[in-house]
Amino acid sequence: MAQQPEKSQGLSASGDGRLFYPHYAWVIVSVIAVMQMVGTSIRMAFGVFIDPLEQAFGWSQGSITLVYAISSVVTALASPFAGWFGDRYGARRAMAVGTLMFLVGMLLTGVVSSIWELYLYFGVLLGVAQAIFLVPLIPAAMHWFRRHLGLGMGIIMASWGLGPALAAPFVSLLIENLGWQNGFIALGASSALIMFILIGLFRDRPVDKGLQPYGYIRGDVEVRKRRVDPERTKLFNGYMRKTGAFWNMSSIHFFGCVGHAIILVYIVPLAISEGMSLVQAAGVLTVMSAVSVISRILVPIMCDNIGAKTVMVIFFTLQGVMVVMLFWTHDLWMFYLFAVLFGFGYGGETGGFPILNRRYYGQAPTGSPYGVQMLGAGLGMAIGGWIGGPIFDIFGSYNVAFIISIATSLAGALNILLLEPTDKPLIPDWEAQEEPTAGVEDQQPAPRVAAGD
Amino acid sequence: MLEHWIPRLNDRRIFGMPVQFVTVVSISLALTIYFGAWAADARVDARDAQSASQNAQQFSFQSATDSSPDSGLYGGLDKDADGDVIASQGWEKLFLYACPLH
Repeated sequence: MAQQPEKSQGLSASGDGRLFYPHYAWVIVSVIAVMQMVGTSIRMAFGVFIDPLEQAFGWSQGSITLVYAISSVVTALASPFAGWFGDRYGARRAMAVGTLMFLVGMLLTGVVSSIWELYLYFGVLLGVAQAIFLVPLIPAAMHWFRRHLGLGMGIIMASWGLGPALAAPFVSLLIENLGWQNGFIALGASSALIMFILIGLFRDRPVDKGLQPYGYIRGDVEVRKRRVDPERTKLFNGYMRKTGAFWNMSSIHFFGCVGHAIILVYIVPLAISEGMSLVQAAGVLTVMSAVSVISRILVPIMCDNIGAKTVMVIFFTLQGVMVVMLFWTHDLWMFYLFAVLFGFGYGGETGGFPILNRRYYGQAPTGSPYGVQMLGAGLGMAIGGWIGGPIFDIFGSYNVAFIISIATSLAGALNILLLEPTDKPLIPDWEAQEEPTAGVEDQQPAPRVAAGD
Repeated sequence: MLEHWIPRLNDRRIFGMPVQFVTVVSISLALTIYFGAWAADARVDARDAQSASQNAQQFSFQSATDSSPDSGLYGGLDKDADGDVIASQGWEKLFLYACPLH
């Protein structure tokens, strides 16, 4: 017996083809954007804690920064589990569990007295917490958009660029006024409070608010079920794992992240070695982050309209090719020019993945593939951020590290070209196998396909 | 051309994973281990050179009783410090152990 469709209420149920109109999906997008910024602020600003911890305990910088690496690797390794958890129990519950772990981790980090405690609480506990409350967010946002997913993703991706710019000054202010211990505790408590309020506003699926997804047009298959059948999700995850894209998108994200992590970590020491002041060198990084916001917004929209593979190849190539500039960059203005050009390519590296997931897997829950992609991304960031140091030890310059950055970005572009075409989903249609709705039995669900790929 | 090769590439599997993915993982892992071990080797050599230089200075200017018995293999150089001292780090041993070429 088919369940009667819930009557849509409140904000508009159908956009009738319009690009922008009021819908609860925008509340979800705002919640996710703020969650990303608040939840990642502590990691983005971790550098601010190094000196206070060194002074308080006499730990070496190497031992303290190791916790950052542990946290990054733990988050990466926990990402596939987090993606599965989000699909199985819903993003809202995952966010609640992750936020609770985050609060406990932050409070315990505020009272550490030995280095292993720092590794355990900040590295492991907060690492797992961040995966659990961050990884399910993007797949959850995808449920809210039937069309114009690129527009929603663009706004969410922009928050990834804004987060680092805002976090460091704010956390510095906290430490200056409260000290590092109270700083951790205050930041943990206030972030958790904000996140719990946001979780209150969050809903896993549009049907939880009696709505259809953004971009729904009368005649589309209606989403009516509030709970996703775990057995069905498991079956579809099995289909996904059999596709090449499931695995290859992870290695593509890995390549892209190695490519920009090398630059993000070593551009400041390079600029200083060329005679720039610390403030001028840090300015290069700030310009890079600021410019990346533009392409973070644009790329998902372009992927939606031009074709995800084409746009991603362009931005991966741009990210790689621009690094060539660094071999001849010695003056301040050249560093800033590099920051603008590279920042544009780097900002576009990430935005295509949710759109590719939609093209390949349609409306099916994509927590698992996204989790595996974030595993690749996390390992790429960890290896890219680390490898420049050993390379410098061997060769006495960063040139080989920059060659690796160029090679990995271009390898990512090549791997994108080798992905399956995006003109049809790779797995059975999730919606076509839903229980037919009265009045829409004869509707053939046809996911929109991108041109150009 | 690509349309012809892409399905073939994705159909070939190793341990249930596409050959493209396995190739990327294998090459990335091998290169990371190789570069890591190379860097570790360079650091150990540099540390040995520093240690030899410091020991020579100590031999010339200090009496044997001034040396601390717990100063370690490199006369304390394996401890983190500012300046030119290359500190011994855990990852060095890991990479040297993992790399068959170093």
